[in-house]
Amino acid sequence: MKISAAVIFLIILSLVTTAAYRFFQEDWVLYRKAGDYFEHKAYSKAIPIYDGLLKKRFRETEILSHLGESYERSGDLTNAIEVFKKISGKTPSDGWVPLKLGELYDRKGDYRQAIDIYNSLLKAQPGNRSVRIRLARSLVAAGDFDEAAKQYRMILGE
Amino acid sequence: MEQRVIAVLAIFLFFAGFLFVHFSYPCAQEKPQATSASPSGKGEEIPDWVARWELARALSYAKRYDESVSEYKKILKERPDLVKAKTEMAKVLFWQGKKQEAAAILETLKPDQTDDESKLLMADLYVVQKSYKKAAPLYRAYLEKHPGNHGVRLKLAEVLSWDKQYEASLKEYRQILTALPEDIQVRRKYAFVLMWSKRYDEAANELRKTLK
Repeated sequence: MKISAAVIFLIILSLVTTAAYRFFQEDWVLYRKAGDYFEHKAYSKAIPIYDGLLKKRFRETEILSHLGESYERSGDLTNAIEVFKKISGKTPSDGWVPLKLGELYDRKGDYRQAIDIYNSLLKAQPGNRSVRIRLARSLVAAGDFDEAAKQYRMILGE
Repeated sequence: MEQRVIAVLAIFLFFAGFLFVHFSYPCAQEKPQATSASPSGKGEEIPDWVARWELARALSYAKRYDESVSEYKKILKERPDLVKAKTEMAKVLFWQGKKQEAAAILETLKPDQTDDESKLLMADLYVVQKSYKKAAPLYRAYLEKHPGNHGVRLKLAEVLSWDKQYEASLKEYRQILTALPEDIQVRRKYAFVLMWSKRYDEAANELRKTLK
């Protein structure tokens, strides 16, 4: 009898724990759900969930990053740029964010914006070959071939 | 005994539930690859020959052909296996008006080494040299892969007509006109080939259509 009671108690306890978790940790459940959508490339389903979580300020920086990626992968470059601009405002020391922005501007065909970003990054790190090659490529795409050639020569140390 | 088994199962169920809740849901999700960008620049190592190749292209776009060719030569000295670079250099020489040099480079390439773009370039160079018999098979090879490219088909039709292969030329023209029946320029050219093959009535009919 005692054992049966203990068994029932444990089963109820595990069910209550799960239910309570889902109730009190709703954001985590949503976060996980959006993550699943993201992994299955269902970005249009993940975006509204990330948006909702962002409004609740749930893991803000991380959600912004997920949201930006979702916009980018769904081809909505304009919104992706807006999101990465917000990330840049929140974590200005993160070097990858301006590079990401430059990449997005390039993909959107807004080469001048990309060029400005790469130029400002190069002011801080003139020896960064990766940024300089991106700058040279954006210059080619923008039709500024002479300036691009100059940048390529700098990359080659000439 | 039976009760003990039930008890063990219940405890197992409890811990399974516990583990599910605490390790499945709250665990930090794997961050989606936030970016391919790397602030250090180490993530995108560009070898010198690639940078030089891009430089050669930029110089050619800037119409600085001599400099461009010079860069292509440096690349090919280091990487003689780069067939595409060789083809591009031939193209730059062609733009520069050095058609013989361009053709000489392309002729060193084996047919299986050339991509579609190179085949077209080579065919165009043969046309400039009036070597129509050499140009036609190259256009044909291209059209096998890109049958909808009417521009290239028109070139083939013209080349065949200049080589006096009128029937073959007319066949290509008809194929273009089936796809582009309202293209007056193509129809006029078609009419001229009909005239050259002495089919005057048909030529007159086709010319009339272009006047409507």
